[in-house]
Amino acid sequence: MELGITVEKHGDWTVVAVSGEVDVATAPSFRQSATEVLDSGVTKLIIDMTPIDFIDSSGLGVLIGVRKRVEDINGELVLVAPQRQVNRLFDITGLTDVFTIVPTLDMVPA
Amino acid sequence: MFSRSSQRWTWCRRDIGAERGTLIGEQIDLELPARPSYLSFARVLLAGIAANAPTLQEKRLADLQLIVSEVFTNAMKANWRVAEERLQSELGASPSEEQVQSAADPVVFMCLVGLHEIELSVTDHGKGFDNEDKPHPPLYDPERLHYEHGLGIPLIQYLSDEVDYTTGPDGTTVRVVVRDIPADDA
Repeated sequence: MELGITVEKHGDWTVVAVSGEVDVATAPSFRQSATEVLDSGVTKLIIDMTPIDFIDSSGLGVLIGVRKRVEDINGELVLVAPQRQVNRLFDITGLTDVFTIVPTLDMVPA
Repeated sequence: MFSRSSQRWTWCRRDIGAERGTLIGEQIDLELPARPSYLSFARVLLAGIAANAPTLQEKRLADLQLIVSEVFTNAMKANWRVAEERLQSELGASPSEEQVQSAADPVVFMCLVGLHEIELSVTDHGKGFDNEDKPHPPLYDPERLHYEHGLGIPLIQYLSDEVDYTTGPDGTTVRVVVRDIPADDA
């Protein structure tokens, strides 16, 4: 299944919206897109996972890598994740405690 | 050129109902090429098979899809490593990703459908790993965040009601059981 990625602005933030399924087949594209955005000088990044249908540990690995990159540049990272499946995965892996996760994009002040 | 990987479907009825109590004894054997493009298909297919367990809740089917994704990914990677070593020796040079995936053996699935549970075994040709000596810290250890990889096995263990790994000369088999949630806990 194809991975869809769009990049747009939300006030001071750059939003990377990811749709489809994130697994070992598609995680490299996700990683590359996020890396390109950060390489362009972005320091306030939102990853919008609202349209995601499925994510496994390969996708979580990308998010952990992105978090480390954002930390290295003293930036800010917010995840938008309304789905129960995605949030359950964050809970199980303990990532809920280390990411800022909100249910809707509107909850991030522009 | 066709790869060595293949797709194979078989179905049989095994007389295991009495032995396992809850199992109704339908066994589905399946081989899929060790290619990431089959991962999405494997999740849908195994969830479809599991839907024949009449009491398995939607939440547990979602768990099973995640387990399938993790075990298939691990099995593919194991078969890639074996193929890469073989090709390296044959070619005398590092093979391309495409060459490795084409040469890798298929991943073998065996699924037993029960009234209240699904038993899934996934076999690869890798050398397995030492379950007591995993390279990454456990879940919830803050050190965990230094690693992008290694979440798959803890997830499999968390989501499965039973999980065991058997490594022999021909490879490694991961066996997991996913049961329905008792009515009191659902």
